Amino acid sequence: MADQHPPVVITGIGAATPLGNSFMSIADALMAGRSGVSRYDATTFGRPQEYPAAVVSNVASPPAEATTLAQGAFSRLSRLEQLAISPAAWALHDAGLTPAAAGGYPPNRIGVVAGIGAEQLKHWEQDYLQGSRDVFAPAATPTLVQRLAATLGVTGPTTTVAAACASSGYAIGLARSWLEAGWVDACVVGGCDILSPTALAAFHNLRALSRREDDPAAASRPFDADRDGFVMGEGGVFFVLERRADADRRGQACYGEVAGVGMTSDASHMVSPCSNPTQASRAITQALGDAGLSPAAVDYINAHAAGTPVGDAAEAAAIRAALGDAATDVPVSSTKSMSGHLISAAAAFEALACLAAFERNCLPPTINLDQPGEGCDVHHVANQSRPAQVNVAASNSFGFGGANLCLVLKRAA
Amino acid sequence: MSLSPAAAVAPLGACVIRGAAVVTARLTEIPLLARQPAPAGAPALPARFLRHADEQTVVGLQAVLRTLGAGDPAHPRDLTGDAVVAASCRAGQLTAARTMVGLERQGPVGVTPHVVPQCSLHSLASAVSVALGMHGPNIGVAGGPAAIREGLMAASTLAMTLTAPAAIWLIVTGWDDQPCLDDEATPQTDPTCRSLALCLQAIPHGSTLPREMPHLVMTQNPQHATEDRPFWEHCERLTQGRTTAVDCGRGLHAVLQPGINGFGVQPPSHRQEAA
Repeated sequence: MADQHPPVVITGIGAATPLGNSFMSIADALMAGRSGVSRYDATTFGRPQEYPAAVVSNVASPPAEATTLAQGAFSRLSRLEQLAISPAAWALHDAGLTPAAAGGYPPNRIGVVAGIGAEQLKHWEQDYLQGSRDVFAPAATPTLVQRLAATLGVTGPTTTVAAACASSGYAIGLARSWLEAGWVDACVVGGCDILSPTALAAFHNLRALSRREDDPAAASRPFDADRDGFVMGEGGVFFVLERRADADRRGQACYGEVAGVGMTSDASHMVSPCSNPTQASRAITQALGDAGLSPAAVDYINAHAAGTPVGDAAEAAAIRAALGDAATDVPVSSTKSMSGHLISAAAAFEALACLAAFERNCLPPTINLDQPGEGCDVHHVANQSRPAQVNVAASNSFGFGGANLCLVLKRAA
Repeated sequence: MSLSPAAAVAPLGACVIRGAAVVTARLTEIPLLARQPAPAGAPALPARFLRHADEQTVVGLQAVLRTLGAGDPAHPRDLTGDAVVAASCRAGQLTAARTMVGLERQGPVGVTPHVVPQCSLHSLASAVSVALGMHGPNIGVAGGPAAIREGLMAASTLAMTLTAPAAIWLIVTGWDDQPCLDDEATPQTDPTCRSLALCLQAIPHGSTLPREMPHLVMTQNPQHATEDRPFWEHCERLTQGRTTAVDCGRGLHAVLQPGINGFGVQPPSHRQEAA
């Protein structure tokens, strides 16, 4: 399969995350093992809600030449819009594909695929909290991805993709398919999500969140024996994808190649994570097959591991099953220990962490990993980054409803 | 837009339509539909599977079950490798409204844990995957008025990644008119919810389109303009066995062509379904 498709590469990155707003600042934070988690006040209607959470402290304004926004308009946008538009515009800018840039593509050959899992819920909630009542009689407004495309001045195909916590990974997979099929010449792709009082309360009531309110920086502890749930975060991460031949023709540098995609479903339960690793393992195997690589070729795995008791152990089992004997040597870490769980943006953020490993020749760690939990036996990169030559990385993402995704990324030659 | 059924497959992709169904139900009929046994010939759902499900999930899943029920009982589909693309439009409204009222009146304890897993954009796709044991990818797309367009684009590209005999189930759902609620989040109107299910299998590049089978073709023709139709009108045309086309923008068109027996869609009757 890998031989039939033109290679697709990442030529632009934009980000607004709890660990920074640029590829380099995020790479610095990841390799330093810095936590982006703090105490978050989600008080609504006078009722206190407080959680450990990972917040974006400052969303950078997009470069003026990359959007159609009037001066000052960005600050008036909703937070979800800001977390989509800023990183998407910076990604286009980074790829040298703003409308003003020479040598790019016609606007109708640039598409947008955004992983956004619950845009309507977040919109209705924010609207309600501000005193409006759109949820009682919704207006027929265009979706965020359509507004995003208009703001970026691109007119190619657009869509929103949702697969819960794997949304932006599926978006990357779909964008790659569009490029392979020749529907577009470039695609702005990624995901974004915000901290929402409703989602925090729902996950808290589900007992899925960590309850370490007193020590937020230690709350996100994937694979650790004392893990007690995940830590929600917010952010936006977008890439520009192009076919390798086109990027070379433009003289555009590449961060890495999206070499393989594996997608399966557990078909197990709408809410509970699946303890059977069969389908998650199959997604990893599929992605490696798509990339034409053997398990021994993998230099690093960025795990989905969010810090939930069932999910982390199931993923470790899936990695062992997919990699076989190679599993004992392939380093694994979960950067959610630092970034928190960016939900719809998580898969894109973790793909970025893999690109950081290529760029720095270094493996980002799982922080707060004092003692691996039962069933979590993999080759951990615990607490401190580790120098290593990384040419191939796999990134796992799993979501509610049993969506499993694995991306295999290769260093750009 | 018309294409010769015998024409070589366009390079942008094509799928055979292995089955299709349209379901409509009024808002007040949906709770009954959720408890109704699966149609004859379709797999039974786990008990109380839809008790927390969104209205669009109930109607969307019903369309898949009707498609399966209309299949050849001697050769039931093996669904194990099948994938799901669900394209909904403003789903989750009623639960979202009740959740916001609950949050305001009771605080965080008033928020149901089901709001995210059952009322997000992925929920319908996941429900179909879980209910029917499909292990191919399951994703939600769109979320707004362009649901049919985004659904056809996503399904036709993902179909190319599957290996036969796996199929992709495209389910499109939406309200003819979005429900209007009062301050207690109680519906004041009884609008129709509509769903379309298509079971699609990719046709390899270079193959000839099968004359006798209904099919989906993705084509690119910047000079051609396809009439913009509402979702319900596409459903009507499919039910009548008429060609219908969706403008995917920028010269990209999705054309649904009937076979010798149309699309095999039974006329929807929500009263029958909900009875």
